[in-house]
Amino acid sequence: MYSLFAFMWRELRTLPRPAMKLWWEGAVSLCFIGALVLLMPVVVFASNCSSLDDCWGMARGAAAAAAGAGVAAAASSDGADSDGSGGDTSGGADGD
Amino acid sequence: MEEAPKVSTEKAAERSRKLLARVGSVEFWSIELPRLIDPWTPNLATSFADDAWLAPWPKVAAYGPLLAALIGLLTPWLWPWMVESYTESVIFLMLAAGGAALNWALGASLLAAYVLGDIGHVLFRSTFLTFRTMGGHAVGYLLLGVLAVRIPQLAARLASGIRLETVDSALRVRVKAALYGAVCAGLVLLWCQGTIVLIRPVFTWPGGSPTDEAIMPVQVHWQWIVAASAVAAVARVILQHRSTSQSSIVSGVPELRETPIADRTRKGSAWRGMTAWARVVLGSSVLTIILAGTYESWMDPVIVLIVSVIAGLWRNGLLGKVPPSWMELTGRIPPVIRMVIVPFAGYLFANFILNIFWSTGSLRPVMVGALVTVVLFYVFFPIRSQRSRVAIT
Repeated sequence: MYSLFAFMWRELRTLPRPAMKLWWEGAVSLCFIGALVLLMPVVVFASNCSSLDDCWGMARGAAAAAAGAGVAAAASSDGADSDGSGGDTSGGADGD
Repeated sequence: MEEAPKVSTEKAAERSRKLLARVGSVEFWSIELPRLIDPWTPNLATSFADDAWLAPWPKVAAYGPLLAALIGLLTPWLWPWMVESYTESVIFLMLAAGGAALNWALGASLLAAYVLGDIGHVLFRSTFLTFRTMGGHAVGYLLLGVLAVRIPQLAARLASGIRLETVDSALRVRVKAALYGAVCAGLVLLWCQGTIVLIRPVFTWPGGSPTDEAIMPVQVHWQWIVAASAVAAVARVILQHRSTSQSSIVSGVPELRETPIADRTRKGSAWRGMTAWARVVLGSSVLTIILAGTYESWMDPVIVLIVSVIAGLWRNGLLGKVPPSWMELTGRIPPVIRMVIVPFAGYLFANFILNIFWSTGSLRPVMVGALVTVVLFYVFFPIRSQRSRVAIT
């Protein structure tokens, strides 16, 4: 997905008219966010939560919760177990 | 004789005015407070210091965190639909996720004030307060901390790993906005999915069961929370760009922005004073508490603690050495891509074992899936020294 959007960004830069460029860039930005927000949770269907079956109804819903729980837990301790700088989450670039 | 009380009242009023003026200033939120807490809670200090980018709009910078603190403090008392936990309110979760993405200081002050307000509320309405009740709520605070403090910081670090090499600054800002928005949205989505199970201790530790009202907002209405975070993140990058361009004409703003950064030697100094082993064990203990919602017996936290300590020691190079070829490989993959790989691989593994053990009804496969995701996170984000970071870039 990243490659597709990177390609689109590169193509957009060649557009001649600034106004058209702005519209397309806005549209691609929204699509990128939309794709991430909508495609990932397709795996999740659930209604309530009291036991494994009632909670998710399907294994994939529980699996998504497990993955989310793992990332949330790792994010909470990231930085606490190192020198405060966290893991290599910035890819060597400076943060904001 | 009548003069003395009058003088002391005037002095008290003067002191109050000075205190109010100090708290209602951008310098307090972005310099004084971060400096005070930086050695102990560097992440929270970083969040408060983030207020500096709003310096061209001093009133917003000064009163924004105060307003967020007021909301956090009063919500447990006054919000009618919030009884046991903050997850009962989609609006509060939207405010927390969106506010934190917009300005990290908003998330930090909302979190700190909510913790105080909720402790007061629990103490007020409980005739018999137990350790289990407060422990359950403490797990909830840690989870809120991930949403309001850790996610925006992590998203910024991940998004900074990809940069568009172009001279067109407007295009660069738009790409940055889209990327920060997307990463915030993705992380908040994962948080919502994880919170379905991780918020359970708030209810199960005092002996109850999670209510539908507390789970539905994160399980069914997560779109609103994710959307609030994404929109706020995009708005933040655009506003920050405007703030930077205005800074050149507002005197003192560049200095204000540089001041907290200049104090990096104190950052987390209390943590750095500890041995690496102690830091790993402490970090793993926090992780073990966070995953409490997935436990079925006393054995589960022991397994999580042992596995996370071993993985943490390996990650820090204290238990064997991370292979240099793996370091090099992970260094070449943008962090945001690795952050997509980790939960996806964790999801596939969890889905596999859940399908096998589904009929048992046990939550343990969820715990195993979460633990494997944690280990994958450590493997894909090894800690490299500053020197090797420079070498790779």
